[in-house]
Formats: sequence, structure tokens, C-alpha cells
Amino acid sequence: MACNLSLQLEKIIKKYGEVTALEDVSLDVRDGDFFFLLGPSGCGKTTLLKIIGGLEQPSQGSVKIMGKEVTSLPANKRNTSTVFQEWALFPHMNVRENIAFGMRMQKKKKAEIEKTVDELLNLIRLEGHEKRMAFELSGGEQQRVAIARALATKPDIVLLDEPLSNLDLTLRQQMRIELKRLHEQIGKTFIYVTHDQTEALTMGDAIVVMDKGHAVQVGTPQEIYKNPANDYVATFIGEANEFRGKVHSLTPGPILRTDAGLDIKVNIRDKDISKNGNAIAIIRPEHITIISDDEEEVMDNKFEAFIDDIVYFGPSLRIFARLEKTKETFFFDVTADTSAANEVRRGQVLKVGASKEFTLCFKAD
Amino acid sequence: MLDNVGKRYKYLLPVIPVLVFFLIFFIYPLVEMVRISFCRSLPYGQMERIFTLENYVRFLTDIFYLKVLWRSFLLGIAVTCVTIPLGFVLAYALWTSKGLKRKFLYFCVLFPLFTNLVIRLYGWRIILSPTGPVNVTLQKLGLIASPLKLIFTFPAVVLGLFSECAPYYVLILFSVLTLINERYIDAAIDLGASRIRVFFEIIWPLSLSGVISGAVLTFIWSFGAYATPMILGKPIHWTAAIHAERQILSIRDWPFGTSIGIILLVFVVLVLFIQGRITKKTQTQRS
Repeated sequence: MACNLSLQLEKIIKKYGEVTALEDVSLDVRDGDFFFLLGPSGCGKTTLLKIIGGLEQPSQGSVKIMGKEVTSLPANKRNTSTVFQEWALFPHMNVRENIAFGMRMQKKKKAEIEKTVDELLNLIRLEGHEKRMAFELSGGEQQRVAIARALATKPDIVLLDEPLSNLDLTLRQQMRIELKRLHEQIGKTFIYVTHDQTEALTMGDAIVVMDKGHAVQVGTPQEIYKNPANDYVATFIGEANEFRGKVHSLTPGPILRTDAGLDIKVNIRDKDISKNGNAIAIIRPEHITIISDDEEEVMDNKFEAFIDDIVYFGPSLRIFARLEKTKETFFFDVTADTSAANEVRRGQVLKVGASKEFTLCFKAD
Repeated sequence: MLDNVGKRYKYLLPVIPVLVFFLIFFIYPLVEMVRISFCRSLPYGQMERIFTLENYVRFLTDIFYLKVLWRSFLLGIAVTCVTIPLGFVLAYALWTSKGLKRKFLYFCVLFPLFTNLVIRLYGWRIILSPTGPVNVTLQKLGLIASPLKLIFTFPAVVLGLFSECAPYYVLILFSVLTLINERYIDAAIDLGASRIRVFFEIIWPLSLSGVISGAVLTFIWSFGAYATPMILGKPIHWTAAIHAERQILSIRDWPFGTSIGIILLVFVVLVLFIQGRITKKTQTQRS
């Protein structure tokens, strides 16, 4: 159903001289989604956003917005709006003039501009501030004005380039809720660039995880968290323990032997994994549990762990431990105020286990 | 008590040499000039040390000198009007260029400043003369039959002054342009502005303080120009500054000459005062 897609990227390649910023990125974004481009700095996510907005031209590939080919259209002819990282409010204009700018460029009628600006001021809860200059506003207020300015042109897609990274934590958390509210009220496609996995997981309808110019995995937050496509995604999204080693045997059950000599029963998630090939096992901290004696038979992987440190997180305890045999370090979480949590002590040796199902194994370099 | 005062003003100590220099070479001559301008001039360069306003009255009531002042003013305006747009093009090119091209342009802007002003002006004289390269080229191309009268004209003076002021104007404007966050331009394009509208809506208003500072500098420079109208113009193009010099050194009428100088000074201070009022407004909008 092509008509439901607000954005289609096909085989986008972007090169700066010898350097390749984007390598063959193809993406479809459903209309009305809150879509995240997630990756570390330098992965090409901001470049991709600029290509969508038309501020950069791809070296190869095509961009379609609402089913229309726009690859060769410059930014001022595209129906997209960007909220920039440092907001870039025009310093010589007040709030009203900033918001009205896009509509003025579209040569809208004065009365219509006034009306839309009033509506947007209401939407971002800044009525009465329209005469203020950008520098007279707080960070959060500037942020909201930048969003209103982007919405004023009634874009098909709103592009947000790490819009919250300049705000302190409390304000950032407020603005996340605010942005989510705005997105639901407006119903437009939001494409949001961030390196903050929490933002992507909590706000996104869908996420693309990017690495070194590639789109590594696309999916809903749950899919990506539960079924990461490779070890990069698994460690980038959420926290995870990594055990590196070689595939020791594939039958009957696959076993990974770590470099330190520990055997782990694993769940193979990579189809081109081979016997004796380098591999990596990923276990999330919530999937390692302390084993009581009656559970002992059920667990696939069992380790003797020496407790190095215990950190209190409120709802849970994070326990940093070392394997008695091979000295490999790892960490896991225990829900606070359970009997297990109350009994665990630093320097203790405990039996811990992880189910094979949650021990994900990927091919490694 | 005394110790305390000493401590408080200790940080002024390194300033003293500069202060002394300033007093001897700027404040003292200026005070002396003001004093002389109120004296009465006598034959053979003598002067009577009394207090009289007659020099100022003479200048401000003589239609000849009023015309000179008016022409100096017009010259300043003309040079400023030429420098604002042409200098902007240069500064803009410098701002938008990168790497080697920027270095080359920067060099081109700065290079004329390495040459002595008078030498540069005689260069213009050669270029603009009836047998100079401009006329020869135009004749060879068959565009003109006989040489154009280029040298010793008002446009020649304006051209000369433009070439003097442009480097300063360009550097001032360039430094202001580099302060403009390029995201503003991206944001404007993103919101649908064409290149031309980006210029008039964003770049021009944000660089206005630089344009004003550069334009005022250009105006003051041209208004008080001495060498350029002298070398590239005829006596009709002479500025008040040249007349002040002639009164003092040729006619030896020190009181009248210095009073012209003081009038020029007052005029310039006035212009700077107005500029201060304007830029204060634009600056509060920026920071």
C-alpha cells in the first residue's frame, strides 16, 4: 500500500569526496508515524535527515515524499520542515515573526497567517509571548517555538534533528512528553534523529538503527529490543553482557566457547554462523537470575558467580559479578525487596543462570 | 589609607606609557589646534592670541567654503554608496568560499594594503590616463574612437577612494558575516525561502551592524580624504581637508586652517554619535 507511506528512500548513497557517509540506505516510513533514526554520532543519521529535507543531495538513490519523487527538488520546494539541533530561531525576529516566516514565504494571506500563528501559540502553550525575541526565551520555550515554526508551513513530514540534546535532563523528559502529545494532536509524520536510545525506545512508533552509513535494522521498539539483528543493535539498544568466543558445536544444541574457555548454550540468531567461526553471545541483565536449588535443573546456562559490587537503582539492584572459573565479568539486575535481593552480599559466591532462549548468538568479526 | 589607594590603582600602572604618549601626541596637539582656531590671523602668518569666533563665522558664512564642505559630504556619500553593495559582494564571496579560494580572495583583499597609498594612487593615474591600459584596450576593441576623459574626474576620485576603503569595509563585514549561524540559512531555505529571500530576510538584517560600521568608516575616510582628490581630481574635487592644509601651509593662515579642521572633526564625531545610536538598536536585537 504505497499510499500509506509518507517517505520512501531507495538505495540512498552519499559520498563526500572519498568518504562515504551513507551506503545504500533504503527505508519506508508510514504516514503519521513517529519514526526514529537512531545511531551513534558519525553514523550518517543527520546526513540522511538533510537528504530527506533537501538540504543535501544524495550522490545516488531516490527520495519520495507522499509518493512523489522529490530527489532533485531543493529544500525550499519540498513540503518538509526541520527542527534543528540548536533550534536556529531567527535572532532578529520575535516569536510571532519566527513562526510566521514559513507562511510568509508561501505567500499566504495576512489574516490566515495571523490565525495559524495564534493556533500554534496555543498548541505550544506560549500565548502572550509572541512579542518576545528568541534570546529572551528559555531553552524549552525556544524549542517549542522552533517546533511551531516547523509546523506552520503544514509540512507532510516534520524532521527533528536531536532537538532535545541542548536541554537539561528534567526539561528533556518534559519535552519528550510534550513532543509525543504534539505528534498525537497533529498526526503528521515525525522523523526524529537521536543518539539517545531511551528517546527512541520510549517515543518511537518505529526505529531504524544506523551504523557507519548503513541502516542495520528497522522495526518497532519491541522488535528491536527483543530480536536485535546483530550484536551491534543488541548492545546499542538497551544494555547487554557480551561474551566473545568461537562456536564450539552446532548439534545437538549450539554451544559457544568463550575466549576464556566457558561453554554457553546459545540461541543462534545469525544464519551465516559456522562451526569454529568467531561469535558473540549477548545476555541482557534482566535475563540473568539467581538460581535457587529447586530451579537448578531448568536453567540452560549455570555459572558460579563471585559478587563484586551491588548498586542500588531504586526499583532494582544491579549486581556486578565475576565468573568463578574464567574470571569474565558481567552484570545483572535483581528486583529490589525480593528475598534474593535482600540476601545478596558483596564477596558472596552465588549460582546464577540464563535461559538459552535469551542468550542470543551472533556472528562476530 | 594611602596604601589602600596605591593598591587599588596599581593595575593602572602599565597604562601610563600609553597615556603619556596619547597626551603628548594627541590631546596636546588637539587642544593647541582648538586654541589656535579661536585666534585672530595677522599678515605674514602671524596671529594675535585673543578669543574670537571670526574664523568659524568666516567658514560657515562663505558660500565657497560651504560648497567645499557640501562637496566633501557628497564625495563621502558617493563613495559609501558605491562601497556598500560592491564591498558586500566581495565580503559575501569571501564568506561563502572555502579553502584555497578563500585564501586567495583574502589575499586579494589585503594585498593593496601592503602598498603605499600614494603609489597606489599614481597607479590609478596610469591606468586611467588617456594613453593608459583602459583607454588603449577600449580603442583596440573599437568601442571608442578617441580616448575617454577618465582621470581628474569625480568618478576617478570615487574609484580611488573605493579602492582604499573597500579592504576595511570588507574585513569588517566579513567578520560580522562569519558570526551568522549557517543554520539560520538552512532553516530559512527549509521553510521555503528562495536564495534571494534568504539574503534579504536573513543575511542582510543580520549583517546590518557590519554594513553600518563599514559604511561609517568609509564615509569618514572619504569625507576627510586628502591624497586621493589631490592626485586623482581637479581643484573642484578638493575636500575641506585639502583646503585646511592649504590655509595652514601655503597661505599660512593657521587660525582659519585649524578652524576648518575642527569643523571637520565635529562633523565626524556627529556621524559617529548617530551610528552609535543606530547600532545600539540593532545590537540589542542580536545578543
